[in-house]
Amino acid sequence: MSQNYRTWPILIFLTFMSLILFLLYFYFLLDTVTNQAPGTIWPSEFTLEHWRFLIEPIEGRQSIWRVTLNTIIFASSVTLIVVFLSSTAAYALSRLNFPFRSAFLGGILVLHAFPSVTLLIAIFIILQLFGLYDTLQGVILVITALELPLGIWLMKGFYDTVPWESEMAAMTDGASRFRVWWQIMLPQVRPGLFALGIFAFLSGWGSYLFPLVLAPSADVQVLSVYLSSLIDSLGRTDFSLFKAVGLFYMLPVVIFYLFTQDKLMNVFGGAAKG
Amino acid sequence: MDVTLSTITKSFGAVTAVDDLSLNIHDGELIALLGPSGCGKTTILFSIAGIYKLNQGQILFGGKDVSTLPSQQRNVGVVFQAYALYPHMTVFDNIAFPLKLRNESQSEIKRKVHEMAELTEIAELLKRRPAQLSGGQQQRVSLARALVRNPSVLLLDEPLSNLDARLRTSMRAEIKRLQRETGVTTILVTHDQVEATTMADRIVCMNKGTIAQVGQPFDIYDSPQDTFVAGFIGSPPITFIQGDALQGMFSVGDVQLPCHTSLVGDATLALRPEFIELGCSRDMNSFEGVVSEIEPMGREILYHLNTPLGKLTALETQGRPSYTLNQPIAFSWSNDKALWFDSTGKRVTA
Repeated sequence: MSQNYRTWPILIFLTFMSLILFLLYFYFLLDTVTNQAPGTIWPSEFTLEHWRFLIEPIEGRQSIWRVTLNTIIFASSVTLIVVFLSSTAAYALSRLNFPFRSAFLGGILVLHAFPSVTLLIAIFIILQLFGLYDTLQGVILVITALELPLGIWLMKGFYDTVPWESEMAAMTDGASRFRVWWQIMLPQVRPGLFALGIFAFLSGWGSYLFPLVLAPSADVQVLSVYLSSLIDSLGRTDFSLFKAVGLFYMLPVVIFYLFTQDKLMNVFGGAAKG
Repeated sequence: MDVTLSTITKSFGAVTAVDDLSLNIHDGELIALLGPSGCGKTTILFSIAGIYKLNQGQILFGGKDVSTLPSQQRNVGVVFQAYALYPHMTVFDNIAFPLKLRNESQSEIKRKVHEMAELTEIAELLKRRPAQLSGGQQQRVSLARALVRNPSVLLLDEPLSNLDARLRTSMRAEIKRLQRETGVTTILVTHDQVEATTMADRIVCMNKGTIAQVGQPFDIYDSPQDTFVAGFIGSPPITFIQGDALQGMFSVGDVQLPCHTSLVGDATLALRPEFIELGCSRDMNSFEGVVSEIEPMGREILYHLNTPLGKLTALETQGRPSYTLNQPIAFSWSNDKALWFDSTGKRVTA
């Protein structure tokens, strides 16, 4: 009991500090559905005009739904490819003995540590060479490639925790190597697959710089690029609209995160217990 | 099915784990590979299972060479030390896994799994997952999975080492019963001599990748062929007395004993603790020692003695301690129980 009372001052302090954050979010939300006179804090009227972009495209721009679809395709493709390639590559790196294995492992680590922004111009030129510039496929490939080192390294960690005997048992039971991987190994690294999938989806959804540079035109825009394009260089930015689109962009991720955060924690926990 | 290992060699890099080893295992036999860790016994087991590839030699199942066959085609049942159950499958699916891989019909799989579950007494656990089972139950599931497809040979890798002492005793009898009822040729790998002597029809005593001795449990205990086997088998362990042999006399310090005339130079006399007769009358065949330590072991009492021959251990097999610390005791042994070894450690029989 007394223990509980003693923590009250701390709790009150933390609550108060968090209130400031809540206040920010509250205004963020409020601004998207109200208007206010310039220079005042309190809103003067309720309005849904800032959400008009949901119904009709903003003049001179792509429909928000098309952009959202682009983003979903983009993030899901990245997720699927990263999860598939990481789970196969990491299995090989964890279990098979092939030439240059350790060099490969080291290479992956270096790639993971490499600041990818420095590759921007090189990637730009390569994509143009292959005719993939300003296409969704192109930028999907690039983000996938950048996410793979982390994915492979992560999955290798999960495979490493699965005992060898599990695999030997399956082989003596008569399972082929592929079946061992598919039916015995994959189920045992499922927490890793989930975590990596969520991780890859979030970073696909959130990536901005590469899509901006590599896929800028209206047809292949993703939400992050669309959002930034709302900031008018001439200073006539509609900030309420910007906030509304921002909220629209953010909401799916927040909901997604709420439902999957326990699985995402496995990235840091690492243990694969069935 | 009988299993033949013919001059097999397996090395890992520069280390030779199994060196030019040959062994015949009879159909329906339970044979134990016994030895200290690192003697190559598990390597042999995994080579038979097809998990390791041999560097040299052949493995024959019923006369058929399987050395080049992959693990999947050898039809061996393996029980791993940590059981290696599939954690994401139910007990039923674990046991059914090898059958499913053979594309057997659903009804056939069901029948066989239930039959095997009956035999291993886990019928009521079929819907559980491995994590919900005790160590002994996991062991039974592992045995059931290994036996369900009628393996040519059953391989047990230290099957009891993860169980507590009481469970171990009951599982020992259990495994023996299963082996007898199924009649499957079984190879047991263990470092525990009690496990080997209680379960096996024959014991293969291994040392540094080679076979030191093969025989029935009593054979190995009563007439070890070298000092390694003599020292490894038996608990409490045998006592070695090192001395010099010359013209039928064996001398240790000031003491002289008659020995076999073929012994020359460095020689070893080995005495098992239970063959030392304590408290005999003093005569020319007896010695006197002083009790330096008493270890009551329940039914038996082990004495450590300081004697003119060096340190000795002796076992009093019944009753309660009749001697106290620092008490002088006369002791002797009958000559046919003494084991003699020459300078290379080989046994010399009179």
